[in-house]
Amino acid sequence: MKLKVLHHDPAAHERKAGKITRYYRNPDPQLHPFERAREYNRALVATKLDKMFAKPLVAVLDGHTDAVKCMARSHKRVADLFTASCDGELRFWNMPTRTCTKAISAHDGFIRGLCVSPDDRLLFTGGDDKCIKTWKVEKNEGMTAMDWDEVLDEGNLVRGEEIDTSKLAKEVPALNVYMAKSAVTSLDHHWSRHLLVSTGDTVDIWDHHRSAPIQSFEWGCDSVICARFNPAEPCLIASTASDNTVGLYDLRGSSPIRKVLLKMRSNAVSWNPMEPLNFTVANEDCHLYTFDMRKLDIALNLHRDFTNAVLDVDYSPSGREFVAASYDRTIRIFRVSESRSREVYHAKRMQRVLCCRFTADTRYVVSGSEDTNVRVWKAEASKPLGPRPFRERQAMAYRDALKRKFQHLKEIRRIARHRHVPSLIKKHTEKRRIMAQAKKRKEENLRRHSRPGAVPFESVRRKPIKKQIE
Amino acid sequence: MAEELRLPEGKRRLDEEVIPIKTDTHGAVCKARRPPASTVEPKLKKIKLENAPKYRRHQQLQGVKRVSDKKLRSELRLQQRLDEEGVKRLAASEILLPSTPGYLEAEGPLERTYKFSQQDIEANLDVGSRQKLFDLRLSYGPYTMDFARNGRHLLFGGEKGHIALLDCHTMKSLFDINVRETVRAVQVLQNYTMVAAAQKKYVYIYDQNGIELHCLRDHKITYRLEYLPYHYLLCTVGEFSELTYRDISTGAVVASHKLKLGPVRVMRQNPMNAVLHLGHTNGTVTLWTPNMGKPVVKMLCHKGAVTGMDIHKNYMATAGLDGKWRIWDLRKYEPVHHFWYFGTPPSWVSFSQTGLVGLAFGPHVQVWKDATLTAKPKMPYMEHDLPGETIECVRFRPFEDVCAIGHSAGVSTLVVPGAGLPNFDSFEANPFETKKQRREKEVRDLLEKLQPDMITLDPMRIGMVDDAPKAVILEEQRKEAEEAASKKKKKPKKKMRGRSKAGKRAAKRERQYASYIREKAQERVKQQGGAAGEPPPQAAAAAADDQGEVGGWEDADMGEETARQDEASSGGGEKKVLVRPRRSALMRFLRRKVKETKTERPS
Repeated sequence: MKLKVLHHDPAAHERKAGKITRYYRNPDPQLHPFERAREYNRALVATKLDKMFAKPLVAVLDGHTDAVKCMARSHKRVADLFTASCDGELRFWNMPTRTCTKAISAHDGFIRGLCVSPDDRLLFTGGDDKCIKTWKVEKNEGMTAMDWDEVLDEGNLVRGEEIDTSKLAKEVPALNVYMAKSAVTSLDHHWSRHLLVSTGDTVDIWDHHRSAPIQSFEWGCDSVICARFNPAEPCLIASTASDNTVGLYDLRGSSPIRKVLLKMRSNAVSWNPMEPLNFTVANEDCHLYTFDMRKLDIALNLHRDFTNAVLDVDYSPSGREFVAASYDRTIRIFRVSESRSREVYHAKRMQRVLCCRFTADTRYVVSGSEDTNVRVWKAEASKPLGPRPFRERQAMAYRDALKRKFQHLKEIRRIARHRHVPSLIKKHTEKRRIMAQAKKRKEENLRRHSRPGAVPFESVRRKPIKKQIE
Repeated sequence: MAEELRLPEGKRRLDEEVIPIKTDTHGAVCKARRPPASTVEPKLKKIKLENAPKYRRHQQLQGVKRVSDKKLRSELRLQQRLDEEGVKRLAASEILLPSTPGYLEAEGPLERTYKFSQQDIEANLDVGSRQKLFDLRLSYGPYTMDFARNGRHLLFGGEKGHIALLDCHTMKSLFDINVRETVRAVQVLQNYTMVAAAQKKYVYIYDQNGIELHCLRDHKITYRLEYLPYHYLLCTVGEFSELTYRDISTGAVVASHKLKLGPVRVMRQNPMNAVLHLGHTNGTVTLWTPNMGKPVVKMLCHKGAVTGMDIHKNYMATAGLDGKWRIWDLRKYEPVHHFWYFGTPPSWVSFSQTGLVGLAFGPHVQVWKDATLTAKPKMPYMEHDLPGETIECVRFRPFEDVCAIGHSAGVSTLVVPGAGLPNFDSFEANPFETKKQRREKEVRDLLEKLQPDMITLDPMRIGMVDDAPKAVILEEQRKEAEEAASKKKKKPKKKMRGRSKAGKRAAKRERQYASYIREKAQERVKQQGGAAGEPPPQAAAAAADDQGEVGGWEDADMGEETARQDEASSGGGEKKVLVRPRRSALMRFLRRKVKETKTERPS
């Protein structure tokens, strides 16, 4: 007889003081019945937990005395933020400490353009007083990275410290002043050279060392709204104008390349930093349109969900997402490839949002609104701040994988998609839905009672585009 | 014959392959050349492929090449690669498992494993294993038993009222009570802190100290208890042929089916899909889920009553009064083997974790090995006799090579080498779990509790693409919307001239209800009238069975029933309407009993 009998030695499994209890794993499917059903349940719980832990508002930076019109962040220092308001005030912020480090009365009237040089040393502002001014940026000592974890008491919303305005030198002289021909509506700095682009009646290119623009572009419209340098092509600029066009300019030539005429005006434009062929415009018709610059006759994607004009758009440095601010008092985060927004943020006291930016580390979103406040939000509403232990990170990764796996299931999709929005926005969304349905129905009826082919199907991505002008 | 460490085929010990380390002239370690492949037996690569099918859950995708969407294609390819990689890694990780299964093998042409008596085996056991063997002589038998899921605790109940919970590690009883009424079945619930007992009239729940926590008066005269651990459902069936599912975390009755199939004395769950298998006196086995008022599958298994049943993976073992016990393939619902027995019919059939079949025939216990394989075994694996006693119950202890038998004179245990799975998973069932681990697991389990409507024949159905025709899906959606609409409370119309008075409204409701009942009754009468001429379907199946050697299965209903199980569940099922008040089932039972006793008594 050959005999072996199974025996687990109880002494080996005994709990010993000071020792970690050992867990034994056996991947045999017989020991893990209902694996898919249980995974589904876990995904459901994870989705619900995400909703429970969603606390996106990190900080409110107050200090401005008028609506925050535009903002810029430095390229390399994550902590620095610069904002400018409608009363001509410029403020320098340190985000982790939530303090205002400098406040300057920079312009008479609105400041509409704000940008930082690629070496983070100079700041440029342009306003309604037809001036473009240069300011020196000093390093925040010891605050080169965003040390949230030391400063932040998680979950407790700490307001920015009161600034003693008397201490802040109000009358700092600008390093340099350039005089533009018209009021400056936007300002952007070249990604590597000492060049600036300003908009007003024309698109002007400025050199740091010249007092007059080195180049001016005009293309049959009285006012250009926004212009941005392409991050990869050193000579390429995209701009939006009040005649509802979105145009491309090449610095090497004397005239613009091409433009596309949309049905409504675009308020802002932003290039995708990782796929620099593509850019997104924020339109007055509540939508954002992503274009491939080579093919302007059809939009790559249409991003909807806003219920009022979209005022600003900014890409995340990862190039996967962008944030947009709207006149309907919300900001939304979109994935580049998706047409519905991933996230919507609103606050009780937040008014029309005029500008928004992603931070350089992609983890936060900053918004400036008419209620004179600057708000810092998390880009992932329920992600915990600060470093996490290895096991927790693993558990989070597991939950994320499960959520991805079961994302298309009805119940999970419903919970994940649901966002609470103010009743006004909910009402408007519903109204817009009904209107769109009615329009569709009408078109359908028209098609049914017309000669076949007389009412062609038109893609929603082509619809807003009137024509392309070379 | 001392215990010999022998690795199963295809497995090698870590220290077997020793690669010599060479040093060069400077003393630096240089790469040693592996010994030729033939000397390293078996190869690690081979092990992986051998064991991989066990872990393969995903179907090989066909025609990925032809998918025109570039993104989708690359995603599918990536998924496929990850799946394959996962399977390989799981198979490779088996080498880390600490123990190997037990075995009992005959040496030489004349030895037979079933000839080895327990005394023979016991003589060759180590001290630790010997401690697991006991023979309790108790006077409240016959005994039924149940092991906790991790195999640490044994709950046993004597028919004459004795209930006890035994810790099999310390060999101490946690409680030992006498309830002074019949105990028909016992069941350990989520863990040993709650146990259920089916007593004379009702089902009771006790804690680990034997304190009565609940008396479930909805479950009357229960013969069998089953507990679905992942759904937290206690299932009972008994004299009145009513299958009741009760959620023990909320206390609510989730579903209750009136089977109309006579008293049920055999019930087991399929642990892989939580479907309940019920064995009936007419030889059929019916499969039930809480979502459908009808059995999802109905099989004619024996020509006499079904006396015992158990399910292991894709196989079911049944024993009947027709002189046979059978193994069934649950994928095809077809018999695999049948075995004849002589003398007392089996009172209990039980599968061990590794697929050994234990059967109790009067005073004999038989254990069969490889009964589910295509080659039918010619003789049992082990045998044991208890002269003069009647064995009521056979249960294999999880993760141990031990089998407990409950009989008329108490409870005893046998060694059955190879019965238990050698390696447990601490997150599923841990025999050595600490108090803290138990508590953490309880919370985790509750968070992961599955909903009763997720019980289906195919547990992997969830998360799959619904491949039903579009018309069917649309119809389901329409029904769902209709149901949602009907659930919304309609505000009654405000009528003038006193027609909205409370009395008028009540009268209208009554009128509507009466007409609804009338309609239903007429429908039923019509149906019954139509079916009277034809033979009942069971009889037809039985007739078919008579012609062939083996039992058949009814496929008449099954096709539509299994095809879209959720249809019925989403439809909510028909409301049962009674035309005239019925006497309670309990009352009828008691009256019948009284009548029987009156007639039996000599006047």
